[in-house]
Amino acid sequence: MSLGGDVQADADQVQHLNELDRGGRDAERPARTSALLATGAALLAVPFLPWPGHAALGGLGAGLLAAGSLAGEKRPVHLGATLAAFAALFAGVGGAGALHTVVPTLLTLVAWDVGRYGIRLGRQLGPDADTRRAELVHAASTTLVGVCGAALALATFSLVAGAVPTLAAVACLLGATLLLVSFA
Amino acid sequence: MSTAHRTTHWTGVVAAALLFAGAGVLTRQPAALAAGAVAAAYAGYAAVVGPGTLPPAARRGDAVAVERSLSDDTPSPGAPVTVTVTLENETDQVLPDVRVVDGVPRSLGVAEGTPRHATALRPGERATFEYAVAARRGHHTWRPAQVVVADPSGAVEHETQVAADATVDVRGPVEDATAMPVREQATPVAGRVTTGSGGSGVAFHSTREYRHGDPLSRVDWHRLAKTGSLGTLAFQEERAATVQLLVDVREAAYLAPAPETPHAVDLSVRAARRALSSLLDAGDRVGVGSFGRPVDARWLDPGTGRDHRRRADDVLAEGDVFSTRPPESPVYARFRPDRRRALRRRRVTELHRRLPDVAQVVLFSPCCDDYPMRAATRFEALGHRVTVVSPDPTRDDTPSRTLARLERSERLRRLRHAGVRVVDWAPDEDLAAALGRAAARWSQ
Repeated sequence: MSLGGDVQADADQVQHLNELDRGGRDAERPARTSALLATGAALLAVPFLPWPGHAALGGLGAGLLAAGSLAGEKRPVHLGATLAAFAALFAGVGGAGALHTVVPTLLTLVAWDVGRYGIRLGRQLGPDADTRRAELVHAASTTLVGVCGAALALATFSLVAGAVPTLAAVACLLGATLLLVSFA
Repeated sequence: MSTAHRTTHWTGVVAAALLFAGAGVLTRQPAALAAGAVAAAYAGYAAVVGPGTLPPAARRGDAVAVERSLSDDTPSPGAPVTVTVTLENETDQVLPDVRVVDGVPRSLGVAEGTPRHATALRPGERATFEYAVAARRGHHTWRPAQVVVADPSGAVEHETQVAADATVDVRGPVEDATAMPVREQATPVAGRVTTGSGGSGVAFHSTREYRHGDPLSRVDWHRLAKTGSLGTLAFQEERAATVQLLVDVREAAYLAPAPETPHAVDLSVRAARRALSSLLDAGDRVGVGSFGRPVDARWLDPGTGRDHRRRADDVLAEGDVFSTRPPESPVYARFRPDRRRALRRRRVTELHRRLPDVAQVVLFSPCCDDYPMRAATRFEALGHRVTVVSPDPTRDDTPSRTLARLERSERLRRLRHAGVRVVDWAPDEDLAAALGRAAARWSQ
């Protein structure tokens, strides 16, 4: 059975919600608020990238991510997010500084999450359902977590940058990272 | 009890965290490492912090209560019924992501809005959403609503079904009586069927010699005056008919010329209700039954009287056997064709045994397959006069549809040839007009 456009006409509305999300073959229109928020976040990341080459790669990724979230296709969202993340990574590795690395990474992660959340909601509930409140709460909490994480990382970064040898700071952050990852 | 489901929503974020941190370590760039820390924060959020914010009730499946209210629980067919669904957070914690798909009955279509909703609920907070269904004849019960409570990160979803009572009872509208002609198969009870035998009545039949005991009112006084001998007038006797209305409710009868037009079973039921009230008005004994379901399903033997009228109309107006939706599977679908034919013959014989000997049959069927035709001719052979009222669901816009239409008119022709009265009822035609047209043909 097809969802989305036919949701209203269909008499058999109740389906196992999670079954709907498995196939992922036919694109459905995503929940609109999330798609727009994801597009905004993805595009906002681009100006933070320091050099034209990185910005070009990041722009390509952001474009893909935005197009995927608006069209309701997961694959472009993944691919776009990966490209944009690599752009931020290359900037960071190239010595672009904390602001130009952490902020685009944060925005890309938010766009990646919010975009796919909109797609999932679109598949489960159809584009006509009123889902805005849930979408805003989801996007807000994702952003909040990212901002807190980034603030913590940047604070540590600025605290230890001068006082402690870089290697020690790196080791400290790596330890914290691994600790968090071990929960996953 | 709910089913917990870990989504793949955050898959990959750990890899990103390790990649950034690793690159940061290798190149001694703290900025990349800090970016990796952001990704790691998300990994921890999705794995532990997010799911941990959900109350235990979400795991048990009773975090959200669902309530439904209908704008009208006994609407008339076609009327929109607004369904208001209220969700309530029954826990003392925030539910950041509640998704609901309401259990609209399979037999009803959503006319406006959507029965799906997602929201966030603070402790004790209620949220409502509305949609409208189009009422269809029948009794419809809502199924449990499907509720998903997800954690704020979207990493874990608890899915459960929440029951909420709601039913809607849609009866067909009151149908006008449409005079239904009956055939000359009469009962001993006085009524309106003009018989071939002489007796008391209105229309002249014959005269004969006076016999002792003949009523004075029927003595032929003219003859007495002229010839001096006593004679008796005989009039055509009028008797009541016994009619069994059979509605074809097989899957093969659920046919409509277009998706938005009523299908043949709906039309048949309406015609049967109109015939029922007119036949009962005329003093005939009328029974109601289905053709194509087990004989006992909602069968009413011919009868008269106010109670019988109400019961018969209820049987037709309620939608369990005479449903607006086709049966799940055809009755004889799993049998071989020859076996199927034998079973169908037996079914007709069963119906015959059930019918009073003097009963005539009015069969309502679109006649788009051979079975109703065979059954009608067999009823005739078993001694029941048959009238077939056939709503026409065919079209002629494609070659195959034209063929179906031709086949149907050939079937009707053969029925007429076999002595069955046929009312061919076009979809845009009034039943009374179709009956009038058919009656003109019969009287020729």
